[in-house]
Amino acid sequence: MAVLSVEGSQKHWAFQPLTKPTSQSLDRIVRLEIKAAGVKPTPPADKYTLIRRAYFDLIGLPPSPNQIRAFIADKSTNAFEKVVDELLNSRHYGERWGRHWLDVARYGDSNGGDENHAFPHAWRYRNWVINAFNRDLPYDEFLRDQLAGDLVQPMDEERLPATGFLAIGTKILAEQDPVKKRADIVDEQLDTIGRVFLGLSIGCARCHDHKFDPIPTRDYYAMAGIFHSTTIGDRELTGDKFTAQGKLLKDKLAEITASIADLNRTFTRQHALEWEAEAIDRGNVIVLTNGYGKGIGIIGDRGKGEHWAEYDVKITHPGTHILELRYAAKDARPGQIKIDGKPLSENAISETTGEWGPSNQRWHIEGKADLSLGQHVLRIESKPLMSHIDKVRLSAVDPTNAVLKSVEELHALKADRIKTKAALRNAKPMTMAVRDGQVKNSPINRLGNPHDHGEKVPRGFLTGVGSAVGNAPEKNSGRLELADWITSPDHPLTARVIVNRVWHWHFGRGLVGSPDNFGTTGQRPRNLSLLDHLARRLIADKWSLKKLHRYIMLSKTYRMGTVSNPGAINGFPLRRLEAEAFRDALLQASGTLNHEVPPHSSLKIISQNPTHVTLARNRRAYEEYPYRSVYLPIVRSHVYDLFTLLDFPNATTPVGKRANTTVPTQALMMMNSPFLIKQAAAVAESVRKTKNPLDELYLRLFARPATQEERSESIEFIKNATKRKDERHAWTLLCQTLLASNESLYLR
Amino acid sequence: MTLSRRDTLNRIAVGFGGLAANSLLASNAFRLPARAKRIVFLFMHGGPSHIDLFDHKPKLEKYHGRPLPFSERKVTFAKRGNVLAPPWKLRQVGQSGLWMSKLWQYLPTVADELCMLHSVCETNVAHGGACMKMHTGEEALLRPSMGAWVSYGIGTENQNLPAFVTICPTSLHGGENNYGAAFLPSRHQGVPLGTPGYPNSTAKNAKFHYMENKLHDRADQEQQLGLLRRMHERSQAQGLTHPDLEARLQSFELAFRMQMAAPDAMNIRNEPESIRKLYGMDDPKTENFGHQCLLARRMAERDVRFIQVSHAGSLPFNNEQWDQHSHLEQGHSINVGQIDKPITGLIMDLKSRGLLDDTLVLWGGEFGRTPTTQAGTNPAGRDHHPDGFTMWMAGGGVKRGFRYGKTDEFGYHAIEDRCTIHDLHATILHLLGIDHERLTYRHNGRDFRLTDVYGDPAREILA
Repeated sequence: MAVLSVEGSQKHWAFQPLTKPTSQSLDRIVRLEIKAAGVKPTPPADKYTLIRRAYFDLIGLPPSPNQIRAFIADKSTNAFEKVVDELLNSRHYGERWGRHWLDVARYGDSNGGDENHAFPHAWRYRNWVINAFNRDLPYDEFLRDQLAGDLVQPMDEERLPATGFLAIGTKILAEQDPVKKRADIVDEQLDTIGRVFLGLSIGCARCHDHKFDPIPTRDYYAMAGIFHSTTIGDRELTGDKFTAQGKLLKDKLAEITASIADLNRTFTRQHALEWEAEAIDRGNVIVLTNGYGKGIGIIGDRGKGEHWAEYDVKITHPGTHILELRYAAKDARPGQIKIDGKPLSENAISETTGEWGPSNQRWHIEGKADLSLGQHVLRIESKPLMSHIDKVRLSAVDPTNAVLKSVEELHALKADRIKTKAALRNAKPMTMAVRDGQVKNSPINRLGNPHDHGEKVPRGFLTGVGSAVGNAPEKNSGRLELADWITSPDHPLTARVIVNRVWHWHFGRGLVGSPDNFGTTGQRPRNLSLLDHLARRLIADKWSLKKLHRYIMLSKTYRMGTVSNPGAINGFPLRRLEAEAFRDALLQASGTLNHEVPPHSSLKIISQNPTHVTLARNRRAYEEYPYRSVYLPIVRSHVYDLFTLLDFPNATTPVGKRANTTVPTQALMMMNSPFLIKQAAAVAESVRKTKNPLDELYLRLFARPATQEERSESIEFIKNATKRKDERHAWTLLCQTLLASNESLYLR
Repeated sequence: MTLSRRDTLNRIAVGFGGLAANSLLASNAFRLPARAKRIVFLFMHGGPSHIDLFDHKPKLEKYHGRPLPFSERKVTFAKRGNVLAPPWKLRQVGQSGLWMSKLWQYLPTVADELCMLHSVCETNVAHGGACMKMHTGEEALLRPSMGAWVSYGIGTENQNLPAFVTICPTSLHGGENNYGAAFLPSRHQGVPLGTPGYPNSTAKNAKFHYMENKLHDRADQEQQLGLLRRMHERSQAQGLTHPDLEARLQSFELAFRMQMAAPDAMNIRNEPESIRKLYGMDDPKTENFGHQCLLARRMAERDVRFIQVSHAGSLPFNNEQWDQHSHLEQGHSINVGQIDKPITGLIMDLKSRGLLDDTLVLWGGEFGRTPTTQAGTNPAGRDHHPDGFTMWMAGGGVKRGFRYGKTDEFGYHAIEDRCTIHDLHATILHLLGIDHERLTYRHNGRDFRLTDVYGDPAREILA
């Protein structure tokens, strides 16, 4: 390909102002296009097809049998409109369309690259994206917040996680040359911004003027200066909204602690046996009579290893006993207490008393046990460290004693406290973000070599594409001004790029076939008039994406019947569901999907230095995860294989168009994955409980009732399979087959 | 619409690796006469020490315990100590007189098959960057791995096995990316035999995922396939004739056949005792790596195109297998002890089956090690060293008993016939019959190559 001059490439269609569309109606523009292509529009899709299409498209889940029945029964002319509005207002809309955005934002929960460290706070960016879609944050603000949410005045902490967009890229962490490392990070940011918002490969201009698009190296370093003036780092969120959860948890913790103290107060003891902890019969603990044990004598640990103390106890009054320990502990050092080898309770010896000294010694109820007359062995274990234990007391109690019930309560409270503490740790609100650093202009790096400096370039934007060029202000990095420049309504690329993405995500292919490349090496738009009509409309609608969805989905074009011929424009193109939609639909059909937002940040998944054992554990964790796919952690380099097999995008680079491969490894998974078979069995079990299992099955998986032919075919299938084993097995086989079928995996 | 056979084939990428290239790529202008049909890459994770194993440098003994007599730009990782002589003598072996450490007890018997590349250079100084460079040609950005390029270029001749198999891969330092397809179609990615891990899984437990089914038997699956076929025919009759749908049905039928082919490739039960011994499978020390090498031979026999075997465990005193920052003597003794017999056995076995002529064997790690100690290590070890180290090839159209390239007298810099990773990749592709400059893939508006815009095949080593 010939290298274009800057002037020559500036004539490229995408760099021209938006054209005046041939009509003000999407349907009219498409009708003209269909007519020009010499084909006929496909008749409208039937209602069953339509509701499944709309549900998967907008919320990534199939309609439930009841939702289908209600839609079919609704004979009003605006029945479909009602469904679309309902879905746009659903919380699940953001989970679906936010995930689309995460594809281009190259979202990941770990670094990938050379060292795969976890990004424990990346999820806040993910959730910000989901919420932004749900509240229909105008696209220009959506874009601005991701580039400069920290700089928008007045300052609003809720925008900070948005800047995670600039921070979540893959970095080469062990790079030994700090100058190159920094330059590589900036390059990744620039290249991402270019592809995602402008459909331009700005990164190509790092070493030389862009060969095909009007991006001189000088412009690259003008923009690079902006990001050299920006630092990446985790930031703590201190606003009420983020700390509210922490406050609640703290209050709860105080309440639990008070209740435990209450329970430990005096109760009626009978026949109490009380002895000094240091009076051991066997054990390896040390005895301290000075320092922490001064005046009382305590047992303790030697710093490492396992510690234990055993006592031979003679019970003279059989029956229920309460065991108490007197100990001091500044930090919880939980251990185990066993009577005759049987553990007394979980989370034993786990209280804290403020300090380690004798004045901090307190009695604590540890549990209860039914003890017979005669000899018993009581054993205390703790590893590697042990609380400072002073005394042990065993008291028989009356079976009616209220304390017995309280002991149960105590165990529950202690377990609750552990959970609350963990939640509190997770609730420390941190987010991946950026802030302005030392503001400086970047020199041109000759041939991309960060050590070979040319002239310094004032921070600024692209000069060959877009509108009135300005420079960044002196006092700050210029990110906010960059966002303003990109979202200027007369920028020829911004609106076109996003409406094309929206079209692509609705129809499975864009009006421009290369959604991340609008440059001269990208594809030409199928219908520029349509693209520009939608772009103009988006801007006129104040960048509201929900209005755009509504406009597209309520068109006749969207509601046409399915065409399966690749490239056909006269109907709704048949397309495959994404991995996430497949998994979510599967879990919904089997009744195991939890539709809530998970309460914790992310699953605990090993990303750095995983062994094959921990990787297997990761996989189990993915398989047992009950929440929607968008919340599963994306561990770069070790993404859940069900996802990668179904062309989940590589999370280290923006992906506007997912691959769509058909390989036997997918089929092997569909046939042999124990997880899938388990889900199929659950679907089978659940539909068999309904009045009409076959109809229920077809409604759940295909959003339509079974035909007569399918009914008899299924009955025959079950009959034959039952002969080999049993009916339950036969139903599982049937459900698995339907789940794996084209109709389940494809959207019509 | 009527579906041409060609359409279907193109979409389904028949089999694991896709069809032979000429039907997938617009042009086969990149094809050259092939000297090798397949490659076995024995990857030594962590960085084996070239000067202790193959690159004989008498100056190291002379300067032992003293600083290097020259100062050089930093190509090491940590602080440099003094020169360290190899703990073992190197001696010349075979008719060809290649140098090998005394540690090698078996490899000398096949010395005359080997082609030493003493001047491999210019990788990254850290494991991550260097591993990615070695496997993908790029140290920072995500690029297709060389196995994926080879699969994309020349496909596979065995439709029932993947074109690119990686046996017991490590999950570190690029992990999946080191056998990934990046922007190439995903069917070209390496299929791991065993869960990637660190340390890597044992050969005994290495399996292809989803190849077996303990819950459903063959009759169950045949019945399921029958139903899928009927459902597909019905939707076709309704006018849904998208080629992907047809391709998908075929992929199920193919998967069904593969389930039978794969276990056979893995099944070493019928290998005779003599072969097991040849690979050292009778000795706990060599059993695991021997098993991996034997699997590699079985894959090679079945025309898998790109086979990688990873020696990528860890040692009690160092993390990555060959990464002897300390404990050089102990570590390298253990490591050579584990691989010496198996790789020698592999070369002999390939040769006796007539497979060595068209199988390229490549041995090496992501970099070499410094001629000096790493400062402050005890027992002494050596640091990472990327600017001159040794890899070797055997079979597949390379000169036998040959030495290519040279490092300076301390084994520090490659000074003759410098062979960058791009050159190495160009050479490998050349041997496999691929012009590295013409095998390209268009992505995001530009053409990509394994060798970026660099690389020349090392023509001197061609037999």
